[in-house]
Amino acid sequence: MTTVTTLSRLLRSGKMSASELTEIYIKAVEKVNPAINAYVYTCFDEARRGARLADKLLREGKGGALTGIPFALKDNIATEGIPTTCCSKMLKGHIPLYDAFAYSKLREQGAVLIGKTNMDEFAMGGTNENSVYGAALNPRDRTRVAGGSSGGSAAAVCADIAAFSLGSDTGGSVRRPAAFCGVVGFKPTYGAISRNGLFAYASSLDQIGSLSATVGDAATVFGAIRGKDAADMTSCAPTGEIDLKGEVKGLKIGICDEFFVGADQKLVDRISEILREYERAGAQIVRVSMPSLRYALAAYYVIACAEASSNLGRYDGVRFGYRAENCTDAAELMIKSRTEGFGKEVRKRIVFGTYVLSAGYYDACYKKACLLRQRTEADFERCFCECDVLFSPAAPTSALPLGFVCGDPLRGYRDDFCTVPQNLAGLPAISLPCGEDGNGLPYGLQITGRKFEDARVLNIAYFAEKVGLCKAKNIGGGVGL
Amino acid sequence: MDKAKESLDKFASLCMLEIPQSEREEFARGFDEIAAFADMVSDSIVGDAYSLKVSSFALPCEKLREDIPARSLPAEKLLGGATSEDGFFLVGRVIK
Repeated sequence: MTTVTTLSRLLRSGKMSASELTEIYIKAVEKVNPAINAYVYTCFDEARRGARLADKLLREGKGGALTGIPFALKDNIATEGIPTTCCSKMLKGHIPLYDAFAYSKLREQGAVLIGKTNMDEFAMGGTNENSVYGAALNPRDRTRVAGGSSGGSAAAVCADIAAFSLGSDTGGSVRRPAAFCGVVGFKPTYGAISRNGLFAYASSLDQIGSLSATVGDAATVFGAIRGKDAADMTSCAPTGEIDLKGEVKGLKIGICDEFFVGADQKLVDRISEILREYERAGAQIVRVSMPSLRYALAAYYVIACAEASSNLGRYDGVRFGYRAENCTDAAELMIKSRTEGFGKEVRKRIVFGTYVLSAGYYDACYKKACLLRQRTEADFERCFCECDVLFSPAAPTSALPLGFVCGDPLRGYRDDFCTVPQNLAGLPAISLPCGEDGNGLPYGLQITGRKFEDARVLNIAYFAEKVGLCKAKNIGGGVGL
Repeated sequence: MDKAKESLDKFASLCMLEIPQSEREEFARGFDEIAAFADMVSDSIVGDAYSLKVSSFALPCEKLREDIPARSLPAEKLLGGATSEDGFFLVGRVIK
């Protein structure tokens, strides 16, 4: 799989120009994308213009690690002049008037946007099947889901038709598709990357993250887009220098049995093997417990849907987005526009969110869910008194067959339990490809760290990559540089 | 939760949505599944140690920014994304 590091070296050595590289990616996207539906919009003209600017920067010796690197953005990250639809009929054809902070940082550094990627509508789903454009397919096996909600972003990196991509992670939407597609998915600490320009689902949980071929690439992208932004009061100044050495001597790795409930035995065995390698390198394994995990998933859905019912209130058919026709008054316009514009899953979550916030249920549901969230945070803090990081599966199984969750929606919700607690507590976590099931489908190992110890999480993950324990598989067909 | 199911129309109208007749059964079933989480939350025991507070990570900067007026997006661009006329968004009659 082509890495940012390799491409950056090529470009800075002058062996290839950014324009030449962009053409290679455009050809690969045209060839591969129809089979996997990873991109829902391509912006090749803008990409060519961006590549010319990148070439200028490189010629002037002003190029950085991301100058000229072709990348993709999830379709809920605002791009001025380029459609951003959240894969919803509600926003079909919507063109934002400004760039998201993370995207503007990448543009400043000369990275080249190739297109926008598929996702579950408004990031609500774990399989990418709730998209108005149809599901993104898993490049490792096209009868399987790519995971969600950032399925297109993961599929594009896996198929080698984007050097890296950005996604968003509200309850595992970066880490889960990363695990299903066998790439690296990094969700930083809440606030480490500005949410300005990210279309809101659940604001206290939403976080922009990256999908890439290697941990080194994840570190490069994170270093480029993190930082304080005046337009997002929850964003923070960078903390901790990112310097990947992969040093794990003296590290205390926590294992929490609650995270392994229902996990495939082959995945459990593979994580045990990996842990033994960390032990050989001087790390120590510690058993910890998080009793609150049994309620974390329920608390997550109550909080996320409550916030969604509020955040999605702005889509009223009046100021932007889908507008229903033949309405006699303003109320009918809003009701018809919202009913016709939102898909089934989104409408269900909005109604549920309204229900838990309504008088009579607020104390019993929403307020209690917030208390359970605090309990989850406290449990993590207690664990991190005994260990430095937690190792767990990123998902209990490999990628599910297409249509599986549509027949059993509860399964779709339940499988989020490995990734949801980190969002409730705002912690950094990374998913690494770690072996395969009997059908050759990848598993994901998740490493969770303390708040704002993003650099440390990356370093610990880098060890696994450095010694060859966790590596994204090249499946061919894409750029292949 | 049965009471909630009976009140689906009420909650839908609170959030300006309708549940089409053709989807009613499927919607109620799907709602039931997700609403099980509300039951789980309300049946849980949190413990006396927890009282509702503004979570520390929700406001990492611990300080609100100054309220300084800044240049906003141009009105014509903002109006360009919807049906508008003479600098106003158009909607149907509000008062019957």
